[in-house]
Amino acid sequence: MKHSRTLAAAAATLLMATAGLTACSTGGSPSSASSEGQTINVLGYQPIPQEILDDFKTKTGITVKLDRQGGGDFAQILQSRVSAKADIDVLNVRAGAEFNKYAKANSFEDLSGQGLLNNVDEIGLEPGKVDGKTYGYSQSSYVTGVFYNKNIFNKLGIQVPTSWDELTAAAAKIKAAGTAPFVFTAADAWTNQYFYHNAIAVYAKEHPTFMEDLATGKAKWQDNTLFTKQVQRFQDLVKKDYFVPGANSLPGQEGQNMFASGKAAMYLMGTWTLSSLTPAGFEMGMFPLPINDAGQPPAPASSLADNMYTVTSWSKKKDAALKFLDFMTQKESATKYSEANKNASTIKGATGNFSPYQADSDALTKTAAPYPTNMGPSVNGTGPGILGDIIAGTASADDAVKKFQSLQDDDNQTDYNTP
Amino acid sequence: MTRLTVDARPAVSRKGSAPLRPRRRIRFEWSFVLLALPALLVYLGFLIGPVIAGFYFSFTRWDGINPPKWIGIDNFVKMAGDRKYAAALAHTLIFTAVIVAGQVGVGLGLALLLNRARRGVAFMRGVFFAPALMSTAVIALIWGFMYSPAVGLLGKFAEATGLGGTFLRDVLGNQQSALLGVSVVVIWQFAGYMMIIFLAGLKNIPQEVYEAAAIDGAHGARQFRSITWPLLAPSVSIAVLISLAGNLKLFDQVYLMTGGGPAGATETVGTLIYQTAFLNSNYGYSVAQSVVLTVLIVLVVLSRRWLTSRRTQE
Repeated sequence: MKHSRTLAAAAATLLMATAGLTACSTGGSPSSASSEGQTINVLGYQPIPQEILDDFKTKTGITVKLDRQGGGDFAQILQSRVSAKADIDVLNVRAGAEFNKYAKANSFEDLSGQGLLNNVDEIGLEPGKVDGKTYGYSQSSYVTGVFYNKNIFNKLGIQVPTSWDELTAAAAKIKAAGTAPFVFTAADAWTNQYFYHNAIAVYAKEHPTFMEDLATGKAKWQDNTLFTKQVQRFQDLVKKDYFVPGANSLPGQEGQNMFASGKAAMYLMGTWTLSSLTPAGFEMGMFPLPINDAGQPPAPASSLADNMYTVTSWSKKKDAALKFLDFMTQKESATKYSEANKNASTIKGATGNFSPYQADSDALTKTAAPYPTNMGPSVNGTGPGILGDIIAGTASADDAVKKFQSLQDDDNQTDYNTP
Repeated sequence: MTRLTVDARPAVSRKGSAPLRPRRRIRFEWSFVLLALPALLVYLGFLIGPVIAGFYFSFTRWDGINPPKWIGIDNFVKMAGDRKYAAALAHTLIFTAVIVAGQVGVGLGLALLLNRARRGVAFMRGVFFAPALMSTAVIALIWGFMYSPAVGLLGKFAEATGLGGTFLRDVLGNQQSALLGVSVVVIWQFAGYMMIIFLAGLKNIPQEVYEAAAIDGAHGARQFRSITWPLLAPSVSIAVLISLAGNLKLFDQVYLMTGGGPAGATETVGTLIYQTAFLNSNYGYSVAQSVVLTVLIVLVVLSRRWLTSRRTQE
């Protein structure tokens, strides 16, 4: 009897130890107990609906304190908090250069093998992979293209352009009718990149090693024929004066307002803008920027998975943090998130009905070329501003491409720009 | 800084006979050091420490998070051939010259007007000083609205008066006018502050001097040239120094109104440092740019002080 009691106690101890080890391991789903009553801190740039945070607390007993820093200074705030290893358990950062930099610095927990990743579509997993490990996932996906005013197009008898020539012909017709064909907002330089965004995406898709070759110096931006052609085409648009008045100093929001109020016919942007873009009295549509020549297959739009979620490597509440990410990747939460933030979800089964223009966005997403995530920080941050030099007349298309390469050379001196 | 006291007790001869001449012994007062220590530690920790660390990082390639790599003087060599930095430096100096002249000129003009006024002085002083109290973000919003080519008052005025084809249509979008456009805002923002400095200086000039000059037949411009301006020199010196130091590191107005554009026409060293660090993640190079800017500010301020003291001696 005494012997069997000893055996039972040993078996119980072994079971408890096994359960404990399972909870501590990185594989599988986070354990269900032990974190109840804890509070985790989330720092990010995107809002999380309060309903999700409340549901999570009801289900797990864990409180989430969200510190949302949505302004343009998020990069600095993130830098200082991560450098100080501040009391943050979950981070919500931008994909690409920003995510890669911190992943390389071991600021994120390795999530490889975590069960929650099974809830995410491949497009949402790709930007989280750095050096063969998965440090995070993307909660949302976007597609970039040309928003257009259907009323103006219909009135002038313009069909949706399927080649660059058709696009410029449409622009000429619109300008002749007294409306600015395109919005351009040089004061917010990042908005310039949608004149070449899908050129980079399509070229990278067709030449899978190109971005790595750029980073190692084996290739140059001058080699990217789609990109260089697109910069040249942008210069042609400038010469033909196809942009809204004051494009050289227009802030992004004012440009969007000009399109929304019918003062411009086309607006090159990503679907994240659907959360704030409300056309005033006209039908709006969206098509991929037709970077192809006439007679060539229509070019796809570019897509990007962004809005990364990850756990900090120094978090003392990793189990609770993983539970939160697991909850965020459940289809019910992801649907609420998608509807509240008006963006498409990367979570399997999430069916957010976020915009009346969702059908256009979904149609473009199906064929879109993914924008590369291993763009260097200088090319990514300062590069778009170079188109502003063309519109100001201080740089030719060739100069602009050379400047791009110069930024690439700067980035290549670091070792964190390639995953 | 240490405090020393002199012990002047008469020294006694070895044999205990008549006192010799007083012996001067320097005694160190540790209590003074102890009292100054907390402030000294704060100063060293939060100012001197980061400055020294900054010098170190200027010799590294660093992304702000991964370990820095020592690269010697590479950043400074790169800066020597960096046309963007040279342009930003030139813009900073032009901004400084225009704004210092504008702030001092307008501030002095306002002070002279208010010094003569008999009624409503306090109210007008408050009105002119108010922009200095406003947040730069609010000021950028107000002036951004004024300058906006889409909805701006200036653009509408230009169109109504047949000047729609000129830079007035889009002040901040025009390379030739953007620098001046931002300068006007900074002058407007701080001219009232300068006015307060000059008003204080003007109040210190004895009225009798003007009365004596009037008896001698000196009025108006002659009085200003021979009495007001020389006696106001210390106030002018302070105003110029404050304006110089502030405008050599000009950042927020430019960042908020033009972001350094169009095509880099208003890029200052301050906005370039920000861009290098936070957009390009090149912290090592941005710290090197900051070091050069700091040295430049110190040199300009010191030369200004040297010139002032030389003039005073003369």
